[in-house]
Amino acid sequence: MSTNSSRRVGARLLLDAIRDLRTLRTFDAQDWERLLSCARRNAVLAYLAEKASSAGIIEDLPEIARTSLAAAQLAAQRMAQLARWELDRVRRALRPAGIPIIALKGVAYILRGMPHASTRLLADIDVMVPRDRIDDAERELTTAGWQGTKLDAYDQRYYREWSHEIPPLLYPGRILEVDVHHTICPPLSRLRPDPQHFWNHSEPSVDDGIRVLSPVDSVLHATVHLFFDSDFNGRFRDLLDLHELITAFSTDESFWPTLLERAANQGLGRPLYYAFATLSRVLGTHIPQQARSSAEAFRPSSLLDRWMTRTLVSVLTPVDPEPWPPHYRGRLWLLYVRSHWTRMPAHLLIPHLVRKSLRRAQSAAIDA
Amino acid sequence: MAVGRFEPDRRVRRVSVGTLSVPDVRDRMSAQGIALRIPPISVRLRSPLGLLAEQIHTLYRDYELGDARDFADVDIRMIRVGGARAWARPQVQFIIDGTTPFDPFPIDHALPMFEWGLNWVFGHRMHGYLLLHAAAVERDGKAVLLPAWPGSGKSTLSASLACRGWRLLSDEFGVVTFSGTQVVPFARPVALKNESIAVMQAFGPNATFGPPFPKTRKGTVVHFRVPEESVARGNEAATIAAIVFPDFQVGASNLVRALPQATAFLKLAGNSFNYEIVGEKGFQALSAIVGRCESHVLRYGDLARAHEALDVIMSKVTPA
Repeated sequence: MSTNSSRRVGARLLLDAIRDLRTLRTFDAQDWERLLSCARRNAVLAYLAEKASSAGIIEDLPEIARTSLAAAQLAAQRMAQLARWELDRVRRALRPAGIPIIALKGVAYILRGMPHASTRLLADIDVMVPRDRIDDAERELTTAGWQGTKLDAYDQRYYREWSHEIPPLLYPGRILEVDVHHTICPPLSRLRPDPQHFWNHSEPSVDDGIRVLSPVDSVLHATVHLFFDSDFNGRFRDLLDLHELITAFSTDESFWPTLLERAANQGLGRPLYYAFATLSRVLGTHIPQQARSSAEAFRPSSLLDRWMTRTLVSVLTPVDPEPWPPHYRGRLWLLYVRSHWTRMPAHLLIPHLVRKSLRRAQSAAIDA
Repeated sequence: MAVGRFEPDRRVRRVSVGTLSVPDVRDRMSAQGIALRIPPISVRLRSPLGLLAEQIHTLYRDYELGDARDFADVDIRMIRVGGARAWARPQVQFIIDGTTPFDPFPIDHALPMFEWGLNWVFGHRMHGYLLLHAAAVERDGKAVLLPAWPGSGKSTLSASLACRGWRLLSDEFGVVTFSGTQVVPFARPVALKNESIAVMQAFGPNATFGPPFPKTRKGTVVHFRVPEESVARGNEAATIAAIVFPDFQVGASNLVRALPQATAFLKLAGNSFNYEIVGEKGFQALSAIVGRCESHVLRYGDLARAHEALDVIMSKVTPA
């Protein structure tokens, strides 16, 4: 359907633009068409808009590009507003019961006032409560009107026994789900950071009664979330968020040593190593030599290192909208299996994956 | 190395879809794709489906084709779903920017899926305007917004007006500038549903209709082709002069009722596609519209009678 030479163009243009915004000034009409399409595919159009505005180059761009950029920015700002509001509703529901809250991920970056945060297309907001209060939190929220999303008994059990969160909650008529966590990694995972440390280092936010993770913990959380998750499809956006977090927080000199120390203490060195490797290769993120050398201590065996780094770089690069069917499905599947391997012991994992694939086959049959 | 253009080059002779043969459209669609200019956007459509090409050829006959190097705002591919199941039940996939936001449709419903998908894309992207869920028609420089909920008859009414000398601006999106004074055309084939099909075929015997698509989610759908003149004036915005909420009731006689400004405002805001996204600009635009124009509910049971009522309403509107 298309010539091979045009295939990687969109993804290449997008990376060039993100790494150096000035290249946008050189794009012609066809470049813009591919760039906009690719930016939409990777959910970073509003991000580009924000970057171009704050760099002061938006006025130099062709009108047709400005229109698309501005529209994406408006839609994302509305999502950010809804996220803030949903978080406020959660706070109102949990406050009378005295349940402390840490806002996580996207909505936490919004609270921190980070410009990139209001360019995300959110589907949910994430909050953390102490493990011994999570049942109370679920009860308070459901009493206040949130409802569990429709899951079968198996999914319910999966969440409650093997996961670090309760099944997502949604208030009828609203669009953002609420994910309530008690830690950042599944309880059976090989990564078992101590959630108490997150609470001890957490910081107050602009919203009274809502805390946010410390800068290094935010980075570690985003890192675990990205590099040990099961779904690597379209995660370039998350890599970009990590890039933004690191770039913003590293203006503080103590950031790098604290980050490496905390990663070592919390047993989160491996994902941090992957993050450094992928960020510097894909986005050219500035990571000081000292930090890189320290992270070498977390490197896996060289065979695994080579395979993982290569695979991560390829799946975390912007997805090009052009090839159909998409090229990357095999690698995504391997990463899916890997992530489950790291989060469940084999005697639980194998029945779980068999069950999931049987259910997919069954739903496909019903659909047919 | 300036390849590609943002604006069509007027030195090049523009071709419309209808000047090509059906096989030509099919070949282009299955190769590099066609760039349909549907003001205010242009849509790159790629698809190997011959039936879709034929139906596009009929319903988009008078639309200009962009050059392969022109900028297109929207990138759509419509492709047969692969795999074993495709044997038993062939389906078509709507691919926008390399993503598939919808479940596949039966393969012979490719055209309704294109129309429906393009509406979805438009509603999600065009936040440079306030997007009302409304048809819009214009006569003598005065545009009428016909906002409505599904089933109230706006599509049928707007198609019928297009058969009687009104210019059809849109049957689905009232694309309003933030000044609240102008409505911008986004003229697309009008999807007529169920009983309204026969009514319109009788009302507009000289109009062109696409093939029937039975058993869609909204029942049987037939598309009414936008008259040539409305397509030709696709870049011409019109001044909003009146707001008429159609309210079709079987067997009803005409009843025109004026609506207070606040009620009209809330009704328009409530069925806007992006009122909450565009925020204050949307509020200003709606305030301007209801401040400048009278709003009416038009209950009707017969198209010709509804036109008469509209003539009366328009005769009282001061020239724009």
